[in-house]
Amino acid sequence: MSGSDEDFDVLAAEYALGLLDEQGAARVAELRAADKKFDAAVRAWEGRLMPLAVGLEEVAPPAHVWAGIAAAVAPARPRLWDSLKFWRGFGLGAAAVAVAAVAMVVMPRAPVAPAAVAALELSSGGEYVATAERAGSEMVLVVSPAGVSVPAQKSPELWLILPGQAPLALGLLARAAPVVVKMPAADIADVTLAVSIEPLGGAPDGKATGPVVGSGKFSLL
Amino acid sequence: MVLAACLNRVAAGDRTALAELYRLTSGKLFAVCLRILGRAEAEDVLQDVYLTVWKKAGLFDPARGVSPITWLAAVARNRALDRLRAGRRFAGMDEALDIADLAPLADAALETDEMSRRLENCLAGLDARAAGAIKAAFFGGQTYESLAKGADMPLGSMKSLIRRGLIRLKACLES
Repeated sequence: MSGSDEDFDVLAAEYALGLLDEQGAARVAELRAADKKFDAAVRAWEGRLMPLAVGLEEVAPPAHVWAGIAAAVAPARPRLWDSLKFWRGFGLGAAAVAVAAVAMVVMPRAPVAPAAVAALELSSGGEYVATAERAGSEMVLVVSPAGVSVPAQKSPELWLILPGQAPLALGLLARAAPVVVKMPAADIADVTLAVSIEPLGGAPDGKATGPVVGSGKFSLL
Repeated sequence: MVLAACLNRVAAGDRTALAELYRLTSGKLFAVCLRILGRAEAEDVLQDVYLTVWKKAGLFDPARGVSPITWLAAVARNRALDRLRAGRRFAGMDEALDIADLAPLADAALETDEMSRRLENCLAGLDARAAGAIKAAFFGGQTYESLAKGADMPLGSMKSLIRRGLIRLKACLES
């Protein structure tokens, strides 16, 4: 490699590493835009160095990060918020729409800051992450699926279990989209959430019939 | 292959694919953000990374020969460094720059796959100061100037130290 080729390549490395000062970086950015060969050299260096990042040991992020992402990418229909209960009756699609309402109300700028979060890992694969916030005399839960696997022709249903009480059906969950459900306010430490697999449309008579595939308790944030 | 397919579906607006992508990669990308930022900011940037990917997954081009995880790690690193630089600008760029990153990384964290091992081996073959400076720049958004100041070296010496290191590093990786 000749001296100038080497200089060219080192410059690409310096740029990829961010070693240049602001002025220098701006000049090199122009070069990169104008010269395909140089752009390729920069990308080659990024490729060479990125194993430093890819090789880091994984760290599981807290559940509320995904809850915020799920809420932010949900389809936006803010006006439906007022009739959340009504729309819930129409099932999953409507509930997915309703989550957008929560997204709009709760996070106009800032990411969601839920009060508590529960992760319900499913024996059938994937998990639901539920975040809870108090809204007056009720709690609003946003339940987001992550890689959830549920048998076809069945409906996953969410249950509230309080000590000494029969399980209370909170609503159907979706496989791919976040769902909003409300529950009566309770001491969050007493609450257990469970997911059961029910016939399409949900458990008849409000009583769980199918297997419980996941459950979990809330931790406070 | 799985990740590439996921990214394709994300580019088409598939929210399930985004959830799957998050499940498969968030541990890695969170580690990248945490290496560069404090915990709260790292969480914030991680969220931002996936929202960026949600909007821009179409920019991923497998034909360019970059693996999906490398591409995603690059997005995470760039976002985290942007945040770091923005923070420094607010704090005043001229204040003492933290050079704690110049210490070699714990090698144990880098033993996960062949490419990382190879890179780590090649970096270990360099002048320790050059290797430390290259890593510090990669994760810490450090310029020649801040590295020279931090190591109490003349700017020119820091430049030639790192340039020699980069040339040797490339030769080692290609050998």
